[in-house]
Order: sequence, then structure tokens, then C-alpha cells
Amino acid sequence: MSRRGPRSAIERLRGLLVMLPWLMQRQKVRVADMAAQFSISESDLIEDLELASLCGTPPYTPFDLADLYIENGYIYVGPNKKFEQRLRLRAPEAFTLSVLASAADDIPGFSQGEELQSALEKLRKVLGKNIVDVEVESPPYLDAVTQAATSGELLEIVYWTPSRNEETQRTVAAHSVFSYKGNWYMNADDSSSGERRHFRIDRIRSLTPTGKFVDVVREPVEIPRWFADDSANTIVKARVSAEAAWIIETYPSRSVVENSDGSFDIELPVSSEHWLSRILLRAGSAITVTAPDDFVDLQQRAARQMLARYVPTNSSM
Amino acid sequence: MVYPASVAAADPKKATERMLNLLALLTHSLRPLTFEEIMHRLGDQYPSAHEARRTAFERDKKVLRELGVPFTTKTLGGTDAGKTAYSIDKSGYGLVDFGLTPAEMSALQEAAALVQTGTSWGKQAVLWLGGDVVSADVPTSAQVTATSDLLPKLWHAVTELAPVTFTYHNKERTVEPYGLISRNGFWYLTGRDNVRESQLVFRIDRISGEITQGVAGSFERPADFDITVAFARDAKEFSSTQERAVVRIDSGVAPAVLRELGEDAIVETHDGGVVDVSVPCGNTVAFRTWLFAMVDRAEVISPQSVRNQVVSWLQEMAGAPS
Repeated sequence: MSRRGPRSAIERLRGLLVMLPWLMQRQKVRVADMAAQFSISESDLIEDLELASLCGTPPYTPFDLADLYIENGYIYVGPNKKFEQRLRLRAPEAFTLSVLASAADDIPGFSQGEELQSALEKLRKVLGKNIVDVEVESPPYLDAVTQAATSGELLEIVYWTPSRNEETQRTVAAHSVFSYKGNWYMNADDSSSGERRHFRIDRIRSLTPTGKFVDVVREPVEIPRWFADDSANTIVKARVSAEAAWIIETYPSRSVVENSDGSFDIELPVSSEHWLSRILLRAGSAITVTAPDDFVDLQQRAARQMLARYVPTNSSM
Repeated sequence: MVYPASVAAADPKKATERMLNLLALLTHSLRPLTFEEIMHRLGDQYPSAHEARRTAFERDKKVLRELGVPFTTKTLGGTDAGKTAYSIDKSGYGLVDFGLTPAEMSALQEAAALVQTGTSWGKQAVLWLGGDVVSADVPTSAQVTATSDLLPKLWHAVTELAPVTFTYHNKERTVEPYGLISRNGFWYLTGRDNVRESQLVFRIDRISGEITQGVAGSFERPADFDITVAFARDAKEFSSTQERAVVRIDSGVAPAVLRELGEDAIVETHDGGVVDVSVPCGNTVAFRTWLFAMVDRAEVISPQSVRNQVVSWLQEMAGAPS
């Protein structure tokens, strides 16, 4: 872990009060392994542990000191332990533990749900109950895609592309599976384009295992940077009345200015016309697009498109 | 957390060593020790001038407390009447032993490997509990971003049953917090707003500035509070009413709709994956929001009154009668 300047006493002490109880549970640990576990450099770790090995109770005979030493790249802990007691879990760690526990159960491939629940029961006095709820959707084929990413089996899929409203057949080799903002994606080699692509799993209309396999190369599952990048989006300016404030609640606006009459002027990054149509139809007269010009009449156009579906039947009634 | 500047300025190694020794001394002492007794045993590690060593001791005590060490004080009686004695309350350590089995620890470790929260707090928690940071055995990961500093503060307020005050859309709100909910990449606080006399949902990234926590134990969560359904209690959400509509859903969006409503909602299946579903429509705002999210891939079939209402909405937006 990179850092600037010498570490403060607080930083050292906080680290040691977490590391020492962890270490005291073990008899022998490789320096490199412990440094990796705690995201600390090996030299800092050695310095801190050597300092701790000189601490204990008066009169500071060897028997009174923390019984640990470092030799040949390993840390050894003797029977005369000190600093075994763990501090209370702080709010950030306790909160995040609740998040992990709530989310993990919904993740395909997580096979230790029963043990997790049992662990949570024991941790209840610090984590509380019924306080954090994370919903991770499970679309159809999620398990099948996860299994294929594990085994390397090629899949034939029919994939729906909403912007063109068309379905295409492809053969894919899934490498990893991840969820982002409520949707699941697979990172897969696509036979149609010959490229590595991301597919939204809830847009897979059908899936057939092929019985053919590719070599599995395990890679860390990284969420692509482009998921967080809205620079390619069009910025739409709109006035939103108070009754449609749910738009501001639901979608990330670049700018929100509340007016004296309770309405809002917002700047909304928009990835597609279809996506914006949905918002405009849902909000009705409570939203008015003011820029860019291409989108000023989008609500009108979308409404006419929808009416075409109703009016022929409706007029005959 | 703000520490005295002088702690950072002191020789960090010496200060760390001194505080560890103070911790060890009080942890292993069978009785509380007075300042004089502590200085008798650790004196050469503190400044020699009385005032300076008192200041250094108070500073160490503050730091240890802020790091979570249950440093306690007691006023003595008898021959030492009036003197303050210090000890470490071992029962005050929150995590002495939860008795987690290897399998339970393994489950926590795997959960920390599979869920990306955007912070190292989860992995630190696993280490704190004595476990190891591991890599996931499966090529799967869920991102549940939880990087906002407000989240642990709100979580703490929920556990403490302490009201919170914050600015939301430029208005000050005081809420009795009941729980934290993550949906589709956003975090929400649910709780009771006593001014508005209702249970509301607040999007946390819309809270501006800091939150102020009130007195712990100020309220009780309702006995029937269920975090898993709290989000749907928002008046903007779908309500379960008696009135229902039949809506025809195109194949492209049918899987997502059925995932939301369940297979029980199907009243008829057509060729090519088109389905008719029955949905509540009494909350017209919620119904319209749901229906129009599908643009022209969904059509109200019945009852005629609801269909007419939809046509009326569309005509209003289209700007011309059909």
C-alpha cells in the first residue's frame, strides 16, 4: 500500500490492535502472506511486529513481553501471548459485514448460505437484526451462465437487443459474471463479433449448453470502468414539477436546482432515446424537456407511437 | 476521528510502544491502577515533568478510547479516597469470542470475496474477526457500492435507535431511522418522519451535508417492521388494491415482467412469448409509471375504463386527438 510520509502513532497502533489478535490465533505465518492480508508493506509489518515484540508488562523480562519473533521470512508466535483481545467492531466494518451477508445469499455460486446465517446469528449482538437489506436480482439463466463460466462450456444463446428490438443467435464463452446497479452481466467471447463483450443476462431469451468446452483462465472479476463513465451520454435539460420528483430520486442527475414554485431544473445524462422516452411517458405533463432540440418533442413522438397500438381497437369500441 | 496534533507530532514509534505498554499493563492488572501507580511502572516512558506526563497520559487514554479500547475510570474510597483509578474493562471488548466455527468463518470470507462494496471495510471486518482475506472460488461478483460515509453513520443510528437530522432537497428532516435498503445501485434510508406522520424512504445520495445523531434509545421500531418489504411501503410504489387490469406484454419484456410479478400473474399465454398479466391498477400513479416504462411493448386490454384512461393520458401527451 503506498503512503506519504512516516506513519503516525495512531496508524501504527490501530493496525497493531487488529493484527496482533489475528496473529495470536496462529502459530506461524509467512511475512509476505500477512502483509498481503493486511495490505501493508512487508517492511512496515516487520517494523511494527518487532516493536510489539518489545511491549508487555513491567519488568519486561522475556516472559512479560509479547511472545513473537520473525525468522527466515516467517512470523512465529509462542505460548506466552499478549494483545489477544479484539476491539469492538467499528460502524463501517459492522455495516459492511451486514451488506456482505445480505447480498451474498443471492449470488450464484455462493454455497455457504446456511453457514453464513449461522455466523450472523452469533454476530447479532453487534450487527443487529433486520437493519440492512440488499436485493440482488436473479434473472433466468444466471445459474447456467455462472456454471458455464466455471466449466468453460460454450453456450448458444438467443439475445435480445432492445435498441433494435431484435433477437440474434450467438455462441459465447462466458468468462465472468457480475452484477452492477441491479442488473447481471456476463463478460464473454462472442462468436458473432469475434470480440469480448458484455451481455445483460436478463436479455438472454434462450440458452443451450453445447457440450463443447474452452480452457478456463480464472481472472479477477472486475467491473468495467465504462459502467461508471457517463461521458458518452447526451445531457438533457428538463424542468420537473414537484409531483415527478421521483425522477430526481431515481436517476442520477448531473445538476438539480430547486425553483421557488417547488419545481426542479435538472440535467440528466441520457444513454438512449428509448430510455428517455420511458421517463417522459411516465412523468407526463410533470416534465418538460428544454434541450437539446432533438429531444424537445420526444414525449409527443413517443405518445403517438404508443397511441398507434391503442387507437385502432379503441375506435371500434 | 480527530486526535490531538501532538500525538502525531511525537516520535510515532515511541508513542506506539508506550500506548501498547499502557494497554498491556492495565489489561493484565488484577485491580484498577492510579495515575501514580501507572507512572511508577511506566514512568521512564513518559516525560519527567509532572504536568507534561499528565498531559501525555491523558492523550494516550483518549487515543486508546477512540480506537475502541474499553478504558474505564473509577473513584477510589478508603485510604485512597477521591483518587481516580484506571482499568481495562475486559467485558467491554465487543469481540472477545463469538465462537465462529471454521465453516462459519469460511462463509463470511467467501461473502467478502464475492461482493464488491468499493471499500476495504468488509475485508477489514473479516480480519477483525480473525479470518483471512480470500479469493472467490467462482467467477462471480456482485457490486453493491457502499462507499458513502453517511451509511455507517446511519447504520449506527439505526442500531442505537437514535433519531437523525439531515438536509434533504434543501429542507431539514428529522427521522427515526429503521433500516438501510439497497436497490438497483442506490441506497435508501427508511424511517418515520414524525412531522409528516408517516414512514418514508429517503435516497441517501440526496442527503446533503452531514447528519446529526440525536439521543440513543429515543424511539422503538415498530414490532412488525420488516426491512424486506419496507421499500414497497413508499406511497409511490405499487399498492395492493382490489382493482386490477389485464395488460398484454410483448415477448421482449415479458421475462422481466414475470420476474417482477411472478408466474401467478399470467392470465393468458400467446404465441411467440407474448403474455397477458393481471396487475393492480388502483394506484393510478404507480400503475402509469409501471405501464409506460415499457413504452409500446405493453397494452392494457381490460377493463375498458382503464384502457380509456391510458388513451386519454397518451392523447394529452401526443398533443392531438386520435
